[in-house]
Amino acid sequence: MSPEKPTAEEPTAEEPTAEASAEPVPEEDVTRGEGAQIAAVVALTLALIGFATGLAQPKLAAPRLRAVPSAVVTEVPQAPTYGQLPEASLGPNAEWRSHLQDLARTPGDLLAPREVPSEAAKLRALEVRAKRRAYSGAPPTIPHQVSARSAASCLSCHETGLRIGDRVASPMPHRLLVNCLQCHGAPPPRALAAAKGGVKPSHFRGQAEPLRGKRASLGAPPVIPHATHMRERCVSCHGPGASSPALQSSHPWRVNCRQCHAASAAGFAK
Amino acid sequence: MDRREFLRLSALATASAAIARRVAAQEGPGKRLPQAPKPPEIPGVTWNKAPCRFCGTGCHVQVGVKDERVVAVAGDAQAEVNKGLLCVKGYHVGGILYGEDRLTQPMVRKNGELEPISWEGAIDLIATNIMKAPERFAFYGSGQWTIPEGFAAQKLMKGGLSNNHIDPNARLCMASAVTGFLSTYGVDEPASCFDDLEACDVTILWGNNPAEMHPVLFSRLMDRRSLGNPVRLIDLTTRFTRSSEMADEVMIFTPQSDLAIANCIAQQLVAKDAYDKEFVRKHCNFRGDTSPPTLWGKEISFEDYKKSLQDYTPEKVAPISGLSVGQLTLLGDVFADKTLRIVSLWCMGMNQHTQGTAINNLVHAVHLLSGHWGKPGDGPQSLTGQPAACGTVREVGTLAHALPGGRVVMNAGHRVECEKLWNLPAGRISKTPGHHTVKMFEKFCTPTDKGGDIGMIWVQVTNPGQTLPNLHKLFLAKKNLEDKFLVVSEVYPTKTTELADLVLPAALWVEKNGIFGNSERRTQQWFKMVEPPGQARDDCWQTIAVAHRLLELGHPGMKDKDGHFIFRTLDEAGREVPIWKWEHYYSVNVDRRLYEEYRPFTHKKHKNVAPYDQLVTHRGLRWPVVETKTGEWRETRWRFVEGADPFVEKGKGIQFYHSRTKDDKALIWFRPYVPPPESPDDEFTHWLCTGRVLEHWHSGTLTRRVTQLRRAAPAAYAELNPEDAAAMGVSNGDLVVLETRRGRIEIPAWVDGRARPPRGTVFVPFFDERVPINELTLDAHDPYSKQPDYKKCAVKIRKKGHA
Ligand code: SF4
Repeated sequence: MSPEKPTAEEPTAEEPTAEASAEPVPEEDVTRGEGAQIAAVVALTLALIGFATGLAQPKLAAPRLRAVPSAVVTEVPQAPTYGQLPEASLGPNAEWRSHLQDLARTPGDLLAPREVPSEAAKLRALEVRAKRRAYSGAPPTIPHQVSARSAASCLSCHETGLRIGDRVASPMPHRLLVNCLQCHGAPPPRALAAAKGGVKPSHFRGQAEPLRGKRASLGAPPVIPHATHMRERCVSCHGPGASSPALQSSHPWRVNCRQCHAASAAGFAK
Repeated sequence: MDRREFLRLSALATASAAIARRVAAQEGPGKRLPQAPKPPEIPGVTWNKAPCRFCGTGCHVQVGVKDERVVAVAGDAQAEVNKGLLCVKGYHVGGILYGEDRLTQPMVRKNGELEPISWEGAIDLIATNIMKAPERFAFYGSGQWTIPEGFAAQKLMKGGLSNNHIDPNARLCMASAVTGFLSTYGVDEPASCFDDLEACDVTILWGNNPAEMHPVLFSRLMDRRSLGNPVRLIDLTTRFTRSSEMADEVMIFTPQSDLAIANCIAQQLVAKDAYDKEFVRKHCNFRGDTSPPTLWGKEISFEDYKKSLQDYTPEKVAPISGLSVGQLTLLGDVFADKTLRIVSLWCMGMNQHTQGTAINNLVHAVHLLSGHWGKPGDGPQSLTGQPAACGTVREVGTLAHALPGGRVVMNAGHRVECEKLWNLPAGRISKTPGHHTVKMFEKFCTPTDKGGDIGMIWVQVTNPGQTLPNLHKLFLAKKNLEDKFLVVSEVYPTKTTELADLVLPAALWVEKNGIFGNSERRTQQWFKMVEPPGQARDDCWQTIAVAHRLLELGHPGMKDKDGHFIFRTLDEAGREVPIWKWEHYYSVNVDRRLYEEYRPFTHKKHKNVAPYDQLVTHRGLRWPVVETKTGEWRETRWRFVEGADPFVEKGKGIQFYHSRTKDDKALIWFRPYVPPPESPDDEFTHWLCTGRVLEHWHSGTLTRRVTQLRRAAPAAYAELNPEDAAAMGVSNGDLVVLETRRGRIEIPAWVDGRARPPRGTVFVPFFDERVPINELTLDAHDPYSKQPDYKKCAVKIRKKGHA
């Protein structure tokens, strides 16, 4: 693949879909929405099962990011006593182990050749998104343990975004807000992982993630199909090195996204 | 510097660098908020505004509805309160509607089991039971009642049944704030508003953890730091919380010593001659306790005041409070600095206090004495926990002694005014205050032949079976009393429905029309957006239907002076609409009808709420709202302040126009430090503090059903100090046994969890129905507000399986 290749790959130009055709087919959107809804419900159920078995681990939500088995760590680490706690290496990602030489930073390369994601890959990426969100636009829940209390520790990875080995920390898509846990729910604290039972759950069915935005004509840039409130930084999900490659832009070097991609119109209540 | 401190500092340094980079990337510090959002065009989704269902912050959400269901929620960028942001509860508020076990059918208890009953049967059962002994009936509601719901219940009880036994759970929540405002300013409710959060230089948290309880307000405050407009945060607290993480000064004090700390600030202001003489001369009188103490106390001179304070020097208060002389002096110096603008925030820490009224008085006092009052960013701000604690409880007056619009039943003139506004025959309203919450349930749980003069309670929109203190005494004792009848309108099975004799399924949040009133005097309206499930119906309809059944059974109180039904509602053509029949309830806007009936009540105390139709087009309006000459409706940001409050006379600057002393002055109180009714001793060795967490709202019946919220906070826990835990050999997740003189529970320990209590203190949240911590808490309460203290009692604690 040559570096020029992505330019020729306006995603839908090669894969005409209902949305890519000149005629808008809203019904299609609805059906697809429902498909994704079912997927979301399945995903939610999976997440619940995962929760019930105390396995709210990153690998559940992001299949691509499986933990690297380490050749170095052979013995089971001793649990620290309270006296040792301040010194112990119990970070939020303590369950993830790798070793230094594997951890070459792989910054997103703007011009790196990029495979055209298949429709199926895109749907899978949306499924992964849906697992961590109550509805399209909901603040995602946190997939990893959080022991930190201040925004500083969240920002150290999520401020500009970070990729180490096969781990991706998405950059936050909204303006700087410093009480991260105000909106983003953490996994159950380990101390309470054994908690079971209690009241029955909710059957809330959230609005599914929208599919590709409509195009005015073949080849026109698609409109943004989702709200951009609190998602002003497009690169968070669509930039190079974003956690789901299938959602990445085919032309990441163009930075003024909304120059070409308009927001969709209908509105919130006045 | 130890390792932890080093880590903390380096983390802070990283954050500051990150913040600086982000600020540089933004378009100057002045540009705060993004433009109003462009929402997505999602097929079939319609959006409408509503206030969030939960806390007294009163954020507005945009509710996305598709196919008759709520499918999405977004922060409302047009709302001044939250400017587009929400907290994790608000983002997931839609989930509370769809719990698998929603109550959808009226049910009556027969031979110990709940069995279906028709709505007609249920309404008739309530009415006939009331008819048997109207004076033994009590109505228990909450600050989650919408304004029309509370107003209807209020009218049914006080205007219809001549019975004042109506009280809300807000008695357990902000009654002391009410008595504090009343005895200081002569009239209830905060004078300041949330705009102060952006204008202040210093914020002092008085036993308050807004990072978890009022997160959007806390973000408004903390976001200033990243926007180049820093604020200094001083956290007076009894445990190190998430708010403490962000504080510049964290002062951990001994429970109950807040009284001494406030007096110590006043002492320093006076001793250093640093109080605001001009402000005090123009706007304040001094007040001290009588013996025995009363709510209104007696006038004292400045000299008396000064003398009372002499025992509260920093040196003397340090040992009582656990704070250092340096910390106490710092507080004194902050208030002495006239160039600063200071906001005090408080909520349950000061209100759930056996000296709640006193500590409220004292915090107002330090602000008045120092002149930190009435400028933007400069003044005391009390917060509420429920969405309409202010709107419904304080303004509509759904309290045992109150009448709408700041009136009280004991005042003959007030009764006459209400009878007039309601068009009732003279003498209809009883002058004897009803039972306040604790007494109501105590009497309900006492056998009839032993003086238990309450035979029936109807509970709406709250869960006393989990939230009352000392539950064995005040709730569970009902179990053995055959003749007591408990009616509960609810949306889910709860600890309260477990003992209910009749359960009525209720509509929730956007399944009905509603109006709330938040902590800054903001009245907020929304429309019904989806149908309630099954046979669930509006609480307000239930009240009106019972009233109409009482009318049919011949209760004379259900008629006004002209013989009309007290809830008579006409359509536009002037024909009566039978709103007591469910199929007609939404043929007219009953909310609008009741609210407009209520509105004139608010004028007496200058709490003029906005007309309904204005509310429809606004994200809430802060009262007093008055019509200008040009026909616009203008809200009020700072009450009693000239230029902001239309009722302040020209040239007065500040005018406390409901002053107790009738001279437009507020009262600076001296109230002494009084030890708590129960302190740790040799047997019950630790302090027990209870409270809320970010993810769950109050007793958790709504939020515990929401997957994302439950995941983050799956169970209640005993938050332990690491050294205490080590001494007991307790690790994370181990079961511990907590025991007080009133009850005993088992609960997992969380050591060094989201907050860190000091040695000798345990914290337990009350959201988890499986761990009824209120079986352990104290029912001792404030003498004036009758609000119990959930924040401190003595507990013993051991690892399960160890003696
Ligand atoms: S719970 Fe309170 S802070 Fe959170 S969104 Fe609702 S009103 Fe706002």
